[in-house]
Amino acid sequence: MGRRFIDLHVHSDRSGGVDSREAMEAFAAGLGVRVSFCDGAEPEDGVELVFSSKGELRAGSLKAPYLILRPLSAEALARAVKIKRAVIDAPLKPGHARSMHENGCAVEFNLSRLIGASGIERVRAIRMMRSNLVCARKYAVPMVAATGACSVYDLRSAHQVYWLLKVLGFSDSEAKEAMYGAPQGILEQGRAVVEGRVVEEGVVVL
Amino acid sequence: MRMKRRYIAFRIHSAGAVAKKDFVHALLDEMLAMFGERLTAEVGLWVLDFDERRRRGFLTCSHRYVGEVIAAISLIHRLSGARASVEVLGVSGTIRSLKRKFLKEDGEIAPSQTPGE
Repeated sequence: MGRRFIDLHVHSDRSGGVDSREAMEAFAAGLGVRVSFCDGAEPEDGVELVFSSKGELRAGSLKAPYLILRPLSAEALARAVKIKRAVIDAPLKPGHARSMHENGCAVEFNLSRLIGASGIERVRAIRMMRSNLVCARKYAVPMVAATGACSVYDLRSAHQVYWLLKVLGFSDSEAKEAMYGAPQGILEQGRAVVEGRVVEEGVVVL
Repeated sequence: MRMKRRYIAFRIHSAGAVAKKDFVHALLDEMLAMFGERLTAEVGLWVLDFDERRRRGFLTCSHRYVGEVIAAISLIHRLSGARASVEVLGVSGTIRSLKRKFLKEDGEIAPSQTPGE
């Protein structure tokens, strides 16, 4: 059986989405996609944090298997890139990408920025994603593709996500790594941290 | 020289009814917005079949621009005024194999294609 696209950034009605977890999971299964919720309601869920200053980032919220951080200011972004294993959705500069590489962070390519947008808003989204792609390539930062879905109509199949990434400028191997390898690695690492199997950074009890 | 064509099967998910002309307009709008008039003119896009009851059908385009067409289909998020998405069921080189693989007459729909590893 082949690998499945893992969508790490999905919201249900528990975290501001429209549809229930069951409806999202059933729809995603029909598309051949595995979803991981950012509800923070279950132990295996990730958490999405949108914050504008470093003071808003509370230590208690950092216990999830994985974190999706959306910093809204330069100060918040400077703080976010220092958090180990975070997945960051923000316009990056080379200095940020270097810090992300050192801290094992990943950069998120949130396709809802494209799908829900039009006109100048979409132009800005494309420009940001292409700039982030250049930074991630230069500093070998892992890339994660996600739909940021808040309803079943926001979910997309692997085939569609692959071609959206390709038109954004991803190579074939980069697109597949962003859809399969990187999300799988983040989930496995997060599970090991939650289960207390991480002895120290980079050392996991199997 | 004759253009090599590809056929793309799709299925629409929407809360409301969807007419063929609304789908065609939405697809052309996304093609124009994302890729511009020059490329949209080169794509040779035609919606050949659309079953409004089953909400599925297939279209054809130049083999060079299959990726662009799938990306444009993926960007559709509203149809006939309601929230919607369009799922690409698969791509084939002939209508016969497209129907055999992805649009079975008994209503059964094959799982979506995924990019190879």
